[in-house]
Amino acid sequence: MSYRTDTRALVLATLSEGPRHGYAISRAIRRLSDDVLKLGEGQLYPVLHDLEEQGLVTAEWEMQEGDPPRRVYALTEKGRAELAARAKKWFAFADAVASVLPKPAEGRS
Amino acid sequence: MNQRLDAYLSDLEGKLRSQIDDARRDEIIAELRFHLTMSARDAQAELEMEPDEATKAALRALGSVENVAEDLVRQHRGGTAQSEWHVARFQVLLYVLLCILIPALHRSSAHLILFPSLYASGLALHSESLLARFRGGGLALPPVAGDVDGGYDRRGDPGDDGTHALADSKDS
Repeated sequence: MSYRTDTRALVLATLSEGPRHGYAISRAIRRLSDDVLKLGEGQLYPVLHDLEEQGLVTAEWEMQEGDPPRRVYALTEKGRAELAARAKKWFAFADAVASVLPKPAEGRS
Repeated sequence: MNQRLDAYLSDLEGKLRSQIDDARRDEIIAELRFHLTMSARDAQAELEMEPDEATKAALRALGSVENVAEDLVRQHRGGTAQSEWHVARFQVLLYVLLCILIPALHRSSAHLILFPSLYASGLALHSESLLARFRGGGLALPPVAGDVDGGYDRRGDPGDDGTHALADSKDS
């Protein structure tokens, strides 16, 4: 069982800690969720590109010696506001679900 | 150079050709090259995999070329992955279906009205997809991973290991 997950909010949330490239974002989501949430890596980039088109993140190329260049994403003010709005919506939803479901101890027979 | 990784990216580039403009496509390939390089490197370091196994694991985690290309093209086209061929196929299929369901249709003059109507509706869909493609910054959102609307995500069920695969952009 799982409720729908807001991937865009998760991506924006990882960027609220500071600029990151795509691979670091997928690692961060996994780490911050204690390995519970796994982002389909191939699905991450369309989300990032869309967030960029919406002006919620910016992207810049960083050249590296000996490694391929990497594209680093950073949260914009608009993105920060979007994250706040999505977080608010999510917690309202999670609270509503929590108020209906039995507590874990009661749920176990 | 990693031949397996190069082959994957070359295959992906081929699938994106004619769908995404050259400059954007080059950026996407470069971005994914970095991702795969890092992913394979971490698999080697953390899971003590052999280089080739690590590359395979990195490619598996990213997904098949077909799925990755499809998601990228859908996003680039502003949430609609309908190609002109999809629209044309839909029109022909619908017309054939109507002819089967209403046998009298193809004998009557109704098809003279029906077929152009179907064609016009297909054309409208097509022009919408073209508009979205050229709209730049104003692209419609691709249907992304479950907005928080209380709906169920059937693809987000936890795996055996208790992890939850996050839904992709094909969901809603």
